[in-house]
Order: sequence, then structure tokens, then C-alpha cells
Amino acid sequence: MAASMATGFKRLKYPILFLIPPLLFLGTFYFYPLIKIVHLSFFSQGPWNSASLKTLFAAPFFLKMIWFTTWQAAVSTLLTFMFALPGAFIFARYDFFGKSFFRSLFTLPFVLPTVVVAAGFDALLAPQGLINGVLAPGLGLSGPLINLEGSIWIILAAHVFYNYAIVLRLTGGFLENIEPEIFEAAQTLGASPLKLFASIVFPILKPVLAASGLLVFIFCFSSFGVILLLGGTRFATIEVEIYRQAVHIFNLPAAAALSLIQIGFTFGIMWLYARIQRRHSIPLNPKPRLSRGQGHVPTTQNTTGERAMIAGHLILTSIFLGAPLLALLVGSFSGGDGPSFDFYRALGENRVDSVFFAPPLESMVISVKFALAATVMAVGLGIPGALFLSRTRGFLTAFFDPIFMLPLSTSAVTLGFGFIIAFDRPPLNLRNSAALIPAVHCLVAFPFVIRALLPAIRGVPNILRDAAAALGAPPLATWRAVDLPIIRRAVFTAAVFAFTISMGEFGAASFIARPGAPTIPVAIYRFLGQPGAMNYGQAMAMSCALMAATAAGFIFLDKTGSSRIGGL
Amino acid sequence: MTPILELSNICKWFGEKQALNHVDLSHKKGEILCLLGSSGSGKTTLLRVIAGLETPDAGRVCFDGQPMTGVKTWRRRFGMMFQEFALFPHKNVLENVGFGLKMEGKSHGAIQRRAKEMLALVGLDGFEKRDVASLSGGERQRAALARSLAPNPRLLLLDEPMGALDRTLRERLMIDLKEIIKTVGTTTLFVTHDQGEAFAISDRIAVMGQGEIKQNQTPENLYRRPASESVARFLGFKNIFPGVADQDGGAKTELGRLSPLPEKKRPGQDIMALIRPEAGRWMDHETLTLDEKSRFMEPVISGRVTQRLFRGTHYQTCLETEQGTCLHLDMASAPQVGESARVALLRDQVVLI
Repeated sequence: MAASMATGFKRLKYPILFLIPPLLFLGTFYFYPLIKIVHLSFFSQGPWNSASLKTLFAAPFFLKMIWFTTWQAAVSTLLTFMFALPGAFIFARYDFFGKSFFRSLFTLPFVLPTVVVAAGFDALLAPQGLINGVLAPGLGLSGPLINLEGSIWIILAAHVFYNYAIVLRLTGGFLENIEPEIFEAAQTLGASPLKLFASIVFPILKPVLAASGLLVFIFCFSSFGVILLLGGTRFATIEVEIYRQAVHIFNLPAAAALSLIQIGFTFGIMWLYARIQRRHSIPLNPKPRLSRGQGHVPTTQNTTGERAMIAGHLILTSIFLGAPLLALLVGSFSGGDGPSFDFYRALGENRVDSVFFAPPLESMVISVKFALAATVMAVGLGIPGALFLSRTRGFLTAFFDPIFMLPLSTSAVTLGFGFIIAFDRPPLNLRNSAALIPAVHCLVAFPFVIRALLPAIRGVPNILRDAAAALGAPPLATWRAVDLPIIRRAVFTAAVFAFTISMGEFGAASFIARPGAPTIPVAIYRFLGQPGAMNYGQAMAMSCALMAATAAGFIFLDKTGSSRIGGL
Repeated sequence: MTPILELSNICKWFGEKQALNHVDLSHKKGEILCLLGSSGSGKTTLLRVIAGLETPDAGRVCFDGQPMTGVKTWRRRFGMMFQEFALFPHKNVLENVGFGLKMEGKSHGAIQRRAKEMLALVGLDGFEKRDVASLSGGERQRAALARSLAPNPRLLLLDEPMGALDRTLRERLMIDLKEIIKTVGTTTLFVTHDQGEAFAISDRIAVMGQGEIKQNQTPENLYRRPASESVARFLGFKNIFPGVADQDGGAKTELGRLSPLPEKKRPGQDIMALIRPEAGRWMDHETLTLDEKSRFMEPVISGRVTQRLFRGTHYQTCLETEQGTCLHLDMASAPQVGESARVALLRDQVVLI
């Protein structure tokens, strides 16, 4: 059997067979819900009755919400640039002690679940948060020094926090790949620093600035967890409004219409992004500049001024990115009087005043189970999918590769919403099935799994196979010695990706999770929504646990150098 | 003629490493001077100091009588060509070549005219609208040369201009490069690690090592009389033997007493005897003309052939002497490996340094 597998990997007679499982899955769990959304928005009350839609679009809050969604995304993008561009320049142009450590540290926020980020900012800036806890008594104030809870500032701060890494890694990686000689050549040709920036640096960077800007914009535009947790009742993006319409008001046609608008926006922006990327061949995986041998100039020592600038940026960024996480930790360990493990201990108890029937620890078990199931599914579908893409060429690859990536450009909220309207009645009544969350998480993770597997499967060099064969290895031994180790590592990477994504996913789970069986992010959200120090503290403790799990996954991916898949 | 470029006492440190150690150098107008040295010898750093891309820790760069200290790179009006050519990826060939003129604020028409003229000079007519990414290695080099020459620089600096090209292309472009530079008449300083390149292009060669200039000579004199063992070894000479000079202009070495053409050496002075590879003639295999005989020195060296490589024009031979040292000689013919042979050395192919 293994022998047939070996030849199967090498010469696939019918690659089309590998297409069937992923296509069936996408058809059922992606396209079918999408069709249901379209159907529900237009034909909810018989053929072409758009009365309820008209009411929706005519409502003043509707335009206000679209406007808010857009401008907060634009401002967040601008602020992210202001904050991250200096970092990108510093990381690309200077060598300093601990560079790769800081680069990883500054990327960590991007992989944290939105719920954790929101909880962190709440723990930092809320009236009872860390800053007020430390500063207000110190300054002798009776009330809180700052109260940003439910303000636009805390949302913007969380967005900058979350997206800093996109600009840092994309722009920085691009900048790093530009030979410094290009700038020096311009100088020798008479370009002063100002002219150098205007005629060389900026034009070269323009496409990557546009690309990373679009990415940040779309992430902020689709912001759900941050706004839902930090925005209070005053702020709603389209995503949040979909949730409210569907879950609170139960106006499904309105939610469907909003989902369509959201899908339209995201697809449009992702299309633009893909176009820029193709046209300017911005590398998705920025490669480190090749070390130059002969005639290489040793790196100039940083001057005192440069060192001060680097240190200043590192310190400020570390504070900004570290403070919310620190606040989480502090919040989770502080009892009524002084440090304690109370909140962690409480996670295992079934407290009477708890909003749950099950203790929070159970939601952790549920999350892990779901994540494992999603991982098995995503990898199980990703392997045939990647094999298919690696064995075909031309039209088939060009057509199906983007199809496999589609879930990436559809927000988790629309996916979750699509699930609840598609699978609540026959033919697919899965309303109470435990399989829904793993399915939606598998959908979210699927594009990442493909991207992790494909280069490895494509990249097994034939020359290695030939070398093994020339050394006398029969086909099976060759497959074992060459293909298997390379692919096995990629499969493991893909699995870590899928698992980490599933553990932190909130948008879709917030729709689908059954009341008695919440995932960790859903449980954190519910805890934060309840009054009482114990509920708040438990949210902090769970956030810390989730943060630790995500960080562990990220550190693994970062160490194996695979964290750059998918843009970073 | 007074030198146009003068460096005095240049020092540069990179952390603990001293890249340039009290370098003095002068360069005449219109000449091509080559900085020749192995990787890490400081030659590129020196070029960058002259361009103003590095600030020396000590010393002074003067050009045309003006000290360059504090003059920024973009005000020096020196053209520089980089090893990887550093063409601007977002501009086409014409825009690349015209960039320096644009920085000078020249009019659009003047830029177009001059850039086209430069492209014609380097043999790239018709390439104006081409994307730099579509150029071959040789075309890039030409475009880069045209770009650095277009603003009519006071000094042209070339950093390993052939470094990124393959062997055959190098040979051809080397000749073109020299012709173009001589046509324009620009004073040129160029850095290379390839002595063949240096000999072919330069009017003068400054050999660099350990951040110092070891010798500054015309190519011919450099080859004939390397100033030190390290220079000789860098130029590729292998037969270098320590010895002591005697009264008659010869020297005592492990091969016996060598008597080359008389040298001005102090008796008793420690010297190095350099035997060029083309110095040897087989005593038993070749008939020598009378004239040649008078050109040979004592002693005749005998040994065993340990290497014999056919190199087309000659055999690259290694003769192990009775004392156990190896003599590397290029011979017109050669006995088989393992055979004994006797060799005489031409006086004028042996130098005491």
C-alpha cells in the first residue's frame, strides 16, 4: 500500500480525484451558505419583495453605520502607518541587538485572538483598569484618571495594536529587500535626502504601502470582536450590526442584506489587493537579503543619534504593545486584596452566580476538542487540495487556487451568519450539531493550510529524488527518505496553524456556539458582559490562558520560519 | 602635473576592526587608477570614503585642491557605479540614465538629449523605454555606466564593475569599459579583486591589504617588481623563497646561491627571491641556444616531477627539489610524473625583493 502511495505521489494519474473532497466541503459549507444569504436578502418574503430592505436602507442609522465602519477603518489605517512606518524603516535599515527577538515580539499582537486584544485594552484603559489603578491613587484622584471604555480611542488603539505587525513585516520586508546601493547610487547622482525620498524611496514603496494599507483597512473594516467588546452600544460596524440584527433583533433578512454589503466590500478590496500584489510582485514571503560575499561592505556602526532613535522606538513600541498584555496578566492575578490565584482557581468551579451551566474549564476542553476536530478536517482536506494544485498546471491551478482562498476574503461573521441560516432546517439540519464550529473553523483555516502545504509539496526537489535513486534507493525508500520528511514538517506546520486559528476564532463562533457549550473566546465575551469582579477576573484569566496558547503556537511557527505564510 | 585627488592619512574603524590604516593616495587627472586587493582589504571602504558614503575617522580627502570634509555625497559630483549596478527598479533605462541630470535641474529636452547620447556611447541605442528588469547582465552594466557618466562627473568611481558578470562577458566588456572611459576622459578610480582586470584597464595600480596600500605602481612595474612577498603572493606568484643578499648582487637561499641580474641590495640583508613560473628550461630535454645559455644562472636545480597539467599553451609543472621544496613552473614540454629532471633558471626571470 505504501508502495502504491509512493508512486501515487510521484505520478498522479487522475489529480482531479483529489479535487473532490475539498470541493465538496467548500460547496456545502461555503457556497451553500453564501447562496442562502443572497436568497434571504432578496426573496425573504416571496419573489422580489424588498420592502424590508428598503426600510433598512432608508433608515438613517444605516448610512451612519456604513460611514462609521469606513472612517474608523481609514483612521485606524492612518494611525497604524504613523506608528509602524518608523518601525519598518528601523528594522529594515539598521542592525541592533535583539533585532529578531523584537521583530517576533512586535508580530505577536497580530496573531492574538481579537477577544484577547479587546480584553487587554479593557484591562488597561477601563475605569477599573491598570492605568487608573496605578495612576489615580498615586495622583490623589478620587475618580478614574482616564475613562476610555466605550470611546472611539480605545477602538483605534486596539486596531493599531492589532495591525502594527502587518505594516512592520510587509513594508519592512519589502524595504529590506531593496539593495541599499540603490539609495547610495541616487546620492552619488546628486539626490539630497528630500529628493531621494521623493523620487526613489516613496515611488519604490508605493505599491507595498498600498497593499499593506488595504490589508489593514479591510481588517479594521471587518473588525468585529474589538468593536463588540470595546465599543459599547455607541459604535457598530457592519459586522457588529449583522450580529445585532441576527442575534438580538432576529431580523434575518436585514442581517443577510448587510452580509451581502460586507461581502461586496471585502471582495472588492481583496481583489484590489491581489491586483497590486500581482502587478508589482510584492513578495508574500519577504526573503532576507542574500548575504553578499566579495566586496561586501561591513555594516556601518550606528551613530549615537541613530542608537537613541532605535532605542526610543523599541521602548515606546514595547510599552504600547506590551501594556495591554501586561494589564491582562495583572488583572488575572489580582484578587480582592493583593495578588492571588483566585480567578484561575475559579475557572474550574461551577459557581452558582456564574452565567454558565458548565464551569469555564469546560469551555477550554470544548475549545480544544473543536480545535482538534477542525485541525484534522482542515489538514485532511488541505492535503488532497494541495496535491491537486501541485499536480495540475495552467487553467486548473489558476482557477482553483483562488477558489480555495475564497474563505480568506470572507469575514468570519458572514460565515457564521451563513451557517445559522443554511443549516437550521432540512436538508441540512445541523442546528444542534457539535460539528458546526469545527466546520466553520476548518473553513477559516483551510486557505492557510493550503498555503503552508503547497510550497513544500511543490518544492520537493526532483534532484533529491534522483540522488536517492542513484544511491540505490527503491521508490518506497526514496519516498520515505525524501518526500515524507519534507511534507511531514509542512503538515505539522499546517496543523499548528489550523489549531491556533480555531482556538482564537470569535466572529463565527459567536453565532454558532450553543449556549451550554461556548468556546473560550465566546466564554470570555460573556464573562466580560456580566457585572462583578469575579466574572471580570475570570475573563482576564481565560484571556491569559488563550494568549499563552496562541503565543505558543506563534512561537513554534516563528521558530520554524513558517509564520510568514499568508502575508506575514 | 599636480594630482587632482589626494587622500592623506585616512583611517576608518568598523567596531574593533580597522578597515583603513593611515592611507595616503594621490591620483592624476584623466588617469585610471585601480585599487586591487582581496576581499576585506579595505578597497571598497576607501572608495566609499572618497564618495562620501562613509565618514573617515581620521584623515582628509581633497579634490582639485578643495577639502571634501563635510561635503555631502550628493554635492560632490562624483559618479559611482556599484557592483550590482543598483539601477532604479521603478524607472526605465532612459529615466535611469537621466536621473543625475534631473537632480541638477536640467530641462526635459536637455536630459533626453544627453541621456540618449550616453546610451549611444555605451551601445544601448534603442533601449530607452526598456524596463531595467528586462536587461541582461551586460546591458545593466552599460546602463549603469551611462548613468554615472551622464552628469559629467568630476571623478568616476567603479566598485567591482565586472563582479556581477560571468567570465566571457567580462573579457569583452573590460575592453569596452576602458575605451569608453578613455573616450570621455574622466578621471577614474576603480576597485577590483581580479589582477587580470586591473592590469588590462589601469594606468596605475594600488595594491591594498589589511587596510593599507602595499604598493602603488604602473601595471608593468608592479608585475616586474612586486614590492613585498604579500604583493607577490597576491599577484599569484608561488615560487618565493627567503634568503640573504650577498656582495655580488645575488642571494643565498634554500635552492642554493641565486644570481639574478644584479640588484641594489645591502649584503647580509634578508630578501625574498621570486622565481617567475616562466623562468625554467629543462637541461636534458631542450637544446639551448648559445645566447640563452649566457642568460642562465647557476645552479641547475634537479628534482622529481610531481605534477604535470596540460594547459594548452604550456604544461603547468611542479618540480620537487632534493631539499623537498616545490618549484612551480610553466614549461613548453614536460617529462611524466615521477621522472627526474634538471632545470636551469633564466636570470631575468628571477627577482630579489
